[in-house]
Amino acid sequence: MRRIETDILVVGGGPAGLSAATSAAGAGARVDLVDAGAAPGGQYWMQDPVAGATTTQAAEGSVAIAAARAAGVLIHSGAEVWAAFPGGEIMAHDAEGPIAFQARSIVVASGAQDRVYPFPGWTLPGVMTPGAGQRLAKLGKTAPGRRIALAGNGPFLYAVAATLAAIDATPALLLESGRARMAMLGLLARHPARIAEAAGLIAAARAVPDWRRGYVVTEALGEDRVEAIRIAPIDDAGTIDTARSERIDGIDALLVGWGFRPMIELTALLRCRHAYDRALGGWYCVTALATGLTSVEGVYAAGEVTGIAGSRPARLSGALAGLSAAAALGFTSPGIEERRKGLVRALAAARAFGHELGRLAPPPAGIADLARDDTIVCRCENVTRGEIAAALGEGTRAVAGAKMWTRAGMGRCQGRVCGSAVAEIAASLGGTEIAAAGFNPPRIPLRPVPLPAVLEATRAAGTSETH
Amino acid sequence: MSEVTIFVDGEPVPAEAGRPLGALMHRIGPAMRRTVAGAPRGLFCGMGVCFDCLVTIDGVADRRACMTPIRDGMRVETGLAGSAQP
Amino acid sequence: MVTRADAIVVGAGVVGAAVAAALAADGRRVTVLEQGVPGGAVSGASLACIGTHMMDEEELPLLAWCCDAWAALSEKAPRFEYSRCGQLRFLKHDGERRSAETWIGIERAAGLAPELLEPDAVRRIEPELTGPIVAATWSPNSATVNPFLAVRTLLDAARADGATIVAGAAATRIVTAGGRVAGVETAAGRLEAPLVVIAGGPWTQTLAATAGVDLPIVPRKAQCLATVATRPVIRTVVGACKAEGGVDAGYTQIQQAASGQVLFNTVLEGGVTAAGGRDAVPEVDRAFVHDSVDTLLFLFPRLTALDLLRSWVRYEAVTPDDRFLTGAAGPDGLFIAAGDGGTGFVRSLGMARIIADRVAGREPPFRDDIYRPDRFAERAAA
Repeated sequence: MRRIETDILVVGGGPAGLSAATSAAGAGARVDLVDAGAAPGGQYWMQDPVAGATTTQAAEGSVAIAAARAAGVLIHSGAEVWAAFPGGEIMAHDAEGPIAFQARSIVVASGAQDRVYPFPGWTLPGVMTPGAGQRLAKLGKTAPGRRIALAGNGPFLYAVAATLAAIDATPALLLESGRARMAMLGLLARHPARIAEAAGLIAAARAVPDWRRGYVVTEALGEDRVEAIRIAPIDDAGTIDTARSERIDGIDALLVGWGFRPMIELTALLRCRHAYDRALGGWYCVTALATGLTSVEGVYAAGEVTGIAGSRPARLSGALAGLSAAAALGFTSPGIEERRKGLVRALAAARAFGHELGRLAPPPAGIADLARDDTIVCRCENVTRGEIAAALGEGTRAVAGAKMWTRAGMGRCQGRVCGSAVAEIAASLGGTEIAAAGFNPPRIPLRPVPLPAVLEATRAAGTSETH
Repeated sequence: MSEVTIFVDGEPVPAEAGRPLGALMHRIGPAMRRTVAGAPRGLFCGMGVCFDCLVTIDGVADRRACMTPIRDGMRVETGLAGSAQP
Repeated sequence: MVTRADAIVVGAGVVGAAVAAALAADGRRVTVLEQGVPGGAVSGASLACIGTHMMDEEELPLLAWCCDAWAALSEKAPRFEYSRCGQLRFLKHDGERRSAETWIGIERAAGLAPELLEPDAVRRIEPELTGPIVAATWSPNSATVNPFLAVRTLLDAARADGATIVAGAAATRIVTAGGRVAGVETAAGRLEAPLVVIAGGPWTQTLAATAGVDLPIVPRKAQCLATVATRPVIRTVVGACKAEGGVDAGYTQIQQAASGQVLFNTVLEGGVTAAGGRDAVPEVDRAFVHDSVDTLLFLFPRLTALDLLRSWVRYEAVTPDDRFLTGAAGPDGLFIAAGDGGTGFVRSLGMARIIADRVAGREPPFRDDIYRPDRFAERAAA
């Protein structure tokens, strides 16, 4: 097995991870970066696997990747972290097998995934997350469909509309639950530096022939794939008015997402403290504002895992965490304190914008209740909302109880997809706060790992197999 | 750009090496497998989280199409014709 | 919360749920207090094997009664994935044959039907077990159940007979008055009842101590792994032959759940995990993961293409002689039903029978003196 000793292990190769790695390596630390993607860049700085950087965003990413490499960062692509063992060993796995990292400090920059809520028909092929649609277009040069509906909430939808337009796959329909136009203008007025970026995104949305605000998709219809959708307006009280729903035929791809959810599995496995804020994507890892340190010594976190705020805070929090982690190990240089203070200030401003944006575009109340009793909530184990409701009604409680009694969250994705929805269903049925429903504490392996690789990774050092 | 040929359920398909298999599979048809109950599933998260786009690749079952770069000669089996999987 | 009941059962694991169902069936108004999620601690994390094989000679009548009781329950409420799949215990070395034959002799004398099979015969029962074993014992009466659904079924039965289940309510103290049990103190207030049964697994001794009862129960870490779901490959419960000594002596259990996931664990002697904090949220041990995967692939080499998906840890309640502490203890009205030793599932219905019978002044259908909670104090005094 490959064993790698390093000063700092960075987990995640998006804007936060690359910035953390570059700043720590620049300070003189040995830095290894492990990333699940075939190439570094993460979701935001995604690199075209064949043509290289073809957009300004990707070009910015390729500069960042080159900077990390130039600073001496060793990048391990295509490797997923699946275990943390006592003594600080972090286990990853790639196509060649396991890699054991022994690091003095860890920076977790695991990023985010699309936040989704179940609704009737959401398991039909052709229904996917906006992020999936974006990756189809960016990595696969593939349109999600011929007549695409893009729905949910948050500015990411505009970015996806722009990406799809770039491959001549402009969505036919853009449905936003929010109507916060004035609030958005107010936010931009306070952050004029973001106006140009916002204007570009709004132009992408305007290019969509049918752009509606205050609408949600309530159902996807079809036999073996999505063929039509049902949509409903949100009334002035913020309630989804299914009585006024309408059917739209001829839709062969539906992209629905409600912003992002921080990927907290590794920080939770490492026992870092987490907090809940629906506007920040749900559960996020709590970090010290001045350093990026989590509640666990030697473990730093940066980027979306610390609360959804966007790529700018991701870069800044990454640089801050990398710098702090290196400094704590003795890698300092003159002027580093000034740089750290500057990062802290810039991060506070950038986060304020990102968080406010999140508060302007929350998933509507009752979004998890779109699922009917026979709607599958846990896509892995095919557990319906009715089964979850029955278990909660019979005495089990919250997310962990629903998992035990119904298997919701016990399948391959380990509750990453249905977790937000199960928590909101539990809160809705029990009349409690969503945070009180908790989350499933992750266990090893964080991802499914082939048994032979597990065997190799857990073999005691210096021993061989005998039977 | 490198044009290669892969085999999907035995049929030769032209493909571009390095791009995610999931994208090519989605172009062929959005359904990639069936659940035990017989329901079709396809690409959903596209980033390796949801495990909905599972296919058999070169004889190894349950690989994520979205996370697998296309290689020349790759043989892909969907769960659509044969037996169902969970 | 109902503040007055005929009986309070502390703990909604499989033992508490079974006790509640048995007491409620006798017409008592029962309240069950569970500190967490029903079945969520020790029971749900178990591999829930119902069987008589290689257990405890003196307990065989009880175990046989329990197997029948589980079968009867599944007839009545067939929703907990009861599967009478039989159990194989593999032998890796010829030296283990004597142990295997001794166990078979004991069990056959008790009217059971285990036998020793050569590898070819084993593979007719378990075709994918192609690893190089030398033989295996076969106990056809063993069954598996879904542990959560089994607890839920028992709680349903209790509720149908009028029981109330309160989840998220930790009992903090046994209340006594004039040498009698008067109720239970919880964070949410006091609950009164003349009868209290502590079925709290590894938490039992702490609560019993508040009534002046000293119980020799220690928590022991037990771990388990699961693969991703796959086609049906394992039909039975596969374990290691229980043998004294020897390099490979240890504990193994492998089975495939109705979900398709293969559940498995192996604890080799010397690798037996230490006692630990029953409230901690620990990870599985690295050596445990290794030994478990190693044994699974030794027996089922064709499973190498499977992925490991899950791991979990629980704390079993262990007594000095591996038998339950079940019966009256301390002040009048206080009963104990705890000390699963890792095989509480099968025995839970029997322990519930003992409690219900003794409370009602009936004689149980099997001897219960071997479970008396005060047996160690008596031995120490002697």
